[in-house]
Amino acid sequence: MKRKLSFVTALWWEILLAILGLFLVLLAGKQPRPSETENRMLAGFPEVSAQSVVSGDFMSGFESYLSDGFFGRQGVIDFSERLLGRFSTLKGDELFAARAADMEQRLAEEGAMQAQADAPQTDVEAVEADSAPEAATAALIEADDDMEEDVDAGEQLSGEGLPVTAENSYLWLKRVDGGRKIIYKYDNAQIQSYSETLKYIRALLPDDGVVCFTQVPLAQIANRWTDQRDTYCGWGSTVELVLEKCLEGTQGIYVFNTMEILEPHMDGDVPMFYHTDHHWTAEGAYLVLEQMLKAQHLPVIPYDEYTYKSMKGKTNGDGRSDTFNALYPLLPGHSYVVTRRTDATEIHLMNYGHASYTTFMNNSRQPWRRVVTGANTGRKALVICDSFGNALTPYLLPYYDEVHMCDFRVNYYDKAAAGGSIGELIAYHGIDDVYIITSTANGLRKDNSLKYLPMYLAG
Amino acid sequence: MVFSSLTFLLLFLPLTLLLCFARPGIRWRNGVLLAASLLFYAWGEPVWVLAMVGSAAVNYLCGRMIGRTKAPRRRRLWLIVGVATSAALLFAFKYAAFFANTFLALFGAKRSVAGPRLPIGISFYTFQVITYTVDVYRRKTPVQKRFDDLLLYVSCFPQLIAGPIVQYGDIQPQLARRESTPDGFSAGMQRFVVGLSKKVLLANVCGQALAAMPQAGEAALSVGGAWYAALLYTLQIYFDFAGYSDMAIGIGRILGFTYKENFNYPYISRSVREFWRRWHISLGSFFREYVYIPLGGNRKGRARTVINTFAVWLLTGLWHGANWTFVVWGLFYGIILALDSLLRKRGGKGLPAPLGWLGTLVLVMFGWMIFYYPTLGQGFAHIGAMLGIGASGLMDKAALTVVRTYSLFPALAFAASLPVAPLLNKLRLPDRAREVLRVGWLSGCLALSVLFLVGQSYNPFIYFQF
Repeated sequence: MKRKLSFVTALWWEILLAILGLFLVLLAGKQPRPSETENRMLAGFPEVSAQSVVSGDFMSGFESYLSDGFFGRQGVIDFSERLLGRFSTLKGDELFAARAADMEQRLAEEGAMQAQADAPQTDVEAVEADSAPEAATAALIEADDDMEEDVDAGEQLSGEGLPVTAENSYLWLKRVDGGRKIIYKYDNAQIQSYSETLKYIRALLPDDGVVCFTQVPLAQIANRWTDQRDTYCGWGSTVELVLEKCLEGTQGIYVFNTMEILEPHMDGDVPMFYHTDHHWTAEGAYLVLEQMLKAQHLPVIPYDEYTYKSMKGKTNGDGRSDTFNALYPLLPGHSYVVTRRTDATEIHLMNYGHASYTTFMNNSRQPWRRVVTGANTGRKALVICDSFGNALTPYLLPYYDEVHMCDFRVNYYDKAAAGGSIGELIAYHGIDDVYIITSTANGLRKDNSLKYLPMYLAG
Repeated sequence: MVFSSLTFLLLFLPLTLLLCFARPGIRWRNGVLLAASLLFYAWGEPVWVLAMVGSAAVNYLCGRMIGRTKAPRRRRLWLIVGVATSAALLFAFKYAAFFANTFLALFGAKRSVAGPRLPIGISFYTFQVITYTVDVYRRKTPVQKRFDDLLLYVSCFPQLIAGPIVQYGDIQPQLARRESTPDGFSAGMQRFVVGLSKKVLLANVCGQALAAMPQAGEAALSVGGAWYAALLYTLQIYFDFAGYSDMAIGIGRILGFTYKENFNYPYISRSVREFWRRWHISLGSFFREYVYIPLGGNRKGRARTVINTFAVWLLTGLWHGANWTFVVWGLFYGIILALDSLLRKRGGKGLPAPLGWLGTLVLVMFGWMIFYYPTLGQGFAHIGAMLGIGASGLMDKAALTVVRTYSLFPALAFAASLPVAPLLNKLRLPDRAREVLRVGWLSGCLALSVLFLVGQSYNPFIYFQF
């Protein structure tokens, strides 16, 4: 009897491992694919060659491939994180702060690693490779230094709506006790320098061209407020005021305060940010674009005139899931990835097969894309953005004959692939208006905006 | 390849076992095992697998020559050739740059020499191959006439890269004859899963918490933070290494090998001497058998005993790595054990059990901090902070966040380092129910370990670097 039991258990172990292994091999995705949650490319099957085997690259690549290609990977990671989270006695507020910091860290690290990997491609890239790791370190130090400072109700940071005269400007959450939780501090000198970048872009456009700029907070910041209403009751930012002040007297540049625009809507039933993803929703993006269009005296197409495909995303570690309302653009909108200025490969404008943020603009991350909209307005727009631009761009299509998109982040922009500097391409494509949509993770505290955007503009 | 990787767990291990047991007969199984072992090593060291094969080949030839000749001087000559070749290989990879840089620094040179990358497990397989040649020379064991069997002994994947260090005399009979039974398979698999869980569910999580703690030399440490970090590393290194040993012993058992135990609940020790009888037992046995006793052990007077003890501890430290931190760590234990011997000889009774246990644990934690940091300055700064010297207060914010994030986890992990499992085994249950419960519990642990591994792209064992 005991022998039989031993045999059965021995068989059980072997079968358990073999079945899991079989599943793994059969179901692992062979191609690299992006993970919006982790904000990185998941490994595909590695290249097999004598050199890759001898160097060990194949083996390490294969390990990553199995791990990244594991079936239900995101669910598995969420589960293990949730399990470990059971040990935590941190309060919700501290967890939100940790998550926001974690996302920023990942974005910064990703930038550094990618820059190192891409180093030999062009002269510009070589410069990035040298400086990017420092940039990442600096970003981390910044996050440590800048985040999480409580200002009591009595202390005056800056009056609501008043010009900022303090040395630094801020982004904060309003506490119900009247105080403020400072999320980021900004350096006014850096904002001044960024205003020069905006002026430079404006100078590249025709006389009637406009530049619209906004900086969007990460969902982790928004959720910190909306999920803890007993602690927080709003948010604010003075960065835009400082930037506007720096731009005083310059025509055709509009700065939009996303936090101010979205604040009245944060209490509504329609979420402005996701919980399973660090992006804003299509509804949030629409409200900001609405203000941008109004500033240009353009007619605004009502939100309800679009039709949407609602997709329920996966559940996150907190047991929440998001609904991704992906619009069907009003015009056909042929979308192309453009390389070396003219070589264009057509791809789907939206990817409705993805129940996630990757549905918007088909998860555009290429250095340069062009959407031929089918409109006949005689104008062309360029959206300089990180992934936050993807939810907003589809609403722009009726207003322009062509909408171009440029991902300006250090790990995505490639001058050689795009066919020139951003400045050259604005002239080449005859761009009229520029929209700059960036998350706070790549915004006015970060090298992507402060260092790399000017570099890519001038080439 | 590491045991705690999906490649090993879900592909390599099941396929190897299927092939191994596909046909009866020791030659088939040894053949499959040798091929699998070379693949296992080449997966991580595609080039330096040749160094291991070369080292085994030289010692094989030396063993044959020692067996053929009866003249003591010639026998000794072949012994020296075999041991020196293996030791030279280890020296070239592990110590040459360290000694060269020490020499250069002595003469004030500002340049330093970069050493080659250390092949995985070189310290382990070098010691194993040396035990073969020495045992043949001592006539403790017959000459191995089959090179493939000797290579299998050296390269056998369960214990190849992080031990336990097996001695040829123990393995030689098993190379020629061993039994694989369903009982052994099941017990071995259970032991493997216990080890995997120690590594993935305990060591890696402790390591994750430790990585979030402030580090000496980079941030000001508080007293509480310094103790907490020391505790985390104490747990991490134990579960990491003991977990690996459990996995090695478990796979060995599945394949019909019997490896000696390498750990025996070291953190319940009531003296440092006892700690070293419970920690990395196979390394202690090696040094006792092949260094301490040949040097004369304690048979040549008090002074010579002290010298021999220090020599062993110096080598123990150096074996762990070519860095002054390891040398000092080894000597730290040498001094403690020498003092312990002295007190015992003077009739000292030692501390009461609870105090002895606590004192030992504290000393071991101090030792681990020297071991953990890359520089002595950082290690001593950390120990200083534990004692309140140069500390930035009782508790710092960063450390408190980590403490609150993991709350009871280190306490649970510490409890798991104590002999709890033997107590559970004493529960009166029918054999069948006990087996089903155990398999069910361990299947859960296995599933959980796999889930945790998915999110951990790379999780090397600490002892790989040695």
